[in-house]
Amino acid sequence: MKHIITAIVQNQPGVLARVVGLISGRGFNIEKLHVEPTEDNPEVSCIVMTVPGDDRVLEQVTKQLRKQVDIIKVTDKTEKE
Amino acid sequence: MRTGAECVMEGFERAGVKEIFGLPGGAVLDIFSHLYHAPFKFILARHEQGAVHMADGYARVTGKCGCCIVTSGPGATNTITGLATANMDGIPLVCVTGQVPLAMIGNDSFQEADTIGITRGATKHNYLVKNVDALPQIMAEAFHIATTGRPGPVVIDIPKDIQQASTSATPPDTVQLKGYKPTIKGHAGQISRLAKAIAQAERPVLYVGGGVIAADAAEELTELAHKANMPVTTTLMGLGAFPETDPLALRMLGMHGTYAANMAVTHCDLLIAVAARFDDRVTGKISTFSTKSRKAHIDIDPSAIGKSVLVDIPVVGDVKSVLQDLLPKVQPDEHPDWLDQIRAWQNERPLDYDRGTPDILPQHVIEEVYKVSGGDAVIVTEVGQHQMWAAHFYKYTKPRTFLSSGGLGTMGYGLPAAIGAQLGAPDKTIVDIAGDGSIQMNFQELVVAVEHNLPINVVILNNQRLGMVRQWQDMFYKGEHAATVLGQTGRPSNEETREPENEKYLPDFVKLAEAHGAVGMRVESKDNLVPALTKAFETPRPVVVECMVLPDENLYPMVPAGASLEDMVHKAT
Repeated sequence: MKHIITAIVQNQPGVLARVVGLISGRGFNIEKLHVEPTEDNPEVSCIVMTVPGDDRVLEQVTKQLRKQVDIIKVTDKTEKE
Repeated sequence: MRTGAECVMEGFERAGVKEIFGLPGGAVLDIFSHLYHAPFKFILARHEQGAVHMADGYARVTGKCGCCIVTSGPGATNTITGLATANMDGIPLVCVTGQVPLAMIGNDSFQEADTIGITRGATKHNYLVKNVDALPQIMAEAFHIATTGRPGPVVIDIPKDIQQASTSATPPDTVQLKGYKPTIKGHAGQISRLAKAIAQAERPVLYVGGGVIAADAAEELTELAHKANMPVTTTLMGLGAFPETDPLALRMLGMHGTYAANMAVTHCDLLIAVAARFDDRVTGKISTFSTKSRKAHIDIDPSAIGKSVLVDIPVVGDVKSVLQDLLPKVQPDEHPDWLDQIRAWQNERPLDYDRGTPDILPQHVIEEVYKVSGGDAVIVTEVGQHQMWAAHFYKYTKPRTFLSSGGLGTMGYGLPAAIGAQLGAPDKTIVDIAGDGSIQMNFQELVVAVEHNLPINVVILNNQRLGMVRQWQDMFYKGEHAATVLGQTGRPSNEETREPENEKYLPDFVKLAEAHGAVGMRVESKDNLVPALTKAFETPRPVVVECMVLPDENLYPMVPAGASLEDMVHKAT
């Protein structure tokens, strides 16, 4: 299942590295990644990633992402294949 | 206007810190020049790993945040094991690391390391301070993050020029973080469902983890267990959350848990996980774990819920608050048949050892430590067989009396942690239960105990082996003792050492203890055990008691990796 994970994060150095590290650290590959500051608030960025992988484990990853201090919100949309 | 270094001092002061551990270096000279005049007690460790474990032991025993300051490069990289240990067990630490000046970062400068990159996976959060104006806020945030939610270690990496720069920024009165808001109060509806499940259960079990101790919720937990007459099993991290002398105590569960605890969990109809995380050492094979039960899980960390075992009644929140809300909804209850069954299991296979042998058995040493200390000591352990025997043969009745590296399993944790614990609990008898392998890893910290008058007791169960690994080699690897013989004789042919003049164990721990300024004792016969321990606990100086124990004693029960909890292996009779 390809998961499209959207994370709203603080626009600070190191935050993207943390997000990517949590995902790749579990052996997942990030197929696509886009990050840019949000329109309403440049202090906050939006990261959109496409990550193929097992649903259960990615659910865990999403929860772990939410736990991070600089990550404000995380949503996961599973693309129906 | 204050300098960055002054902001660091102020941050510690505002957080109520009284003691700091660490080791200086070029990149932290400015901070240390302020420490010279500061109101904190500073404990100079001999290795940064020791400093972090000391802060960790201090934190576990006091419930406060442990603090350390180390330098850049190797100073920072030496903290990683200590940080990872605290991260796995949820221990609040704030660790300030020096860094090369901002403009030199990334240049492979002298004593430079990518501290933030390297510690990212070993910490709850970390900061690189790039602007001195942000430092007062960062100091306050660090303590907030370290001590709230599931506690954990926070690293603050401060470049040297930032420490020297000036700012007029002031610390905040409160800390509000957009992306971090731990839930305190549990959902009332879920709590009601849990109360109902308790009322309906005929064979309930409370499975209690370290979070109950972190949240100071032992009293509420004990009240709940007594009110509904529910037996209690704890994880390694939860030892002391419920008095092990209580008739409802099943004691520890899991890979080396008691027979009664593992059977109760396997056959219960309601398993209530109270601030525990369903770790693999506890569950064994997940597909066969507690299959007959409905499961409830109270935890402050939403990512812990449903992580490995699916749960019917999740309750996210601070466990103390949740239990306080739950108690009035729970009715007094009794389960006489279930408790009879549990007593039968307890009598069928109690924890025991050969009491008749002339050899000194490691289990016996632990039991005597229990008796001589009146069960009132703080037990710290290293990692290995001795760690599990310390969990078995000492009965823990109060929180913060058992300090052990559970999640990471760090050999070398115990001695520095015992030093930090003695500092935090000056009136308690502190005992580090060690193996001969583990104790060599951070022995150099013993001199710190001597200098600061911290009369810790180090009891070395010397079996001349890396015992836990040796046991696995016997059970699963054809009994081939590769690299597990620490004694000078009996090694495999490709590890052979020169012909020893005698068969004495090296190093001589008694001489080593004395070289550090401590008292050293060796116990070689059973009769000398109690007198030696009694003398050690009474001596107002650090003491090392080396007990020469039977080399190949095995630890039971054991659930082999990947097996179900009920398939425990017991000692062959």
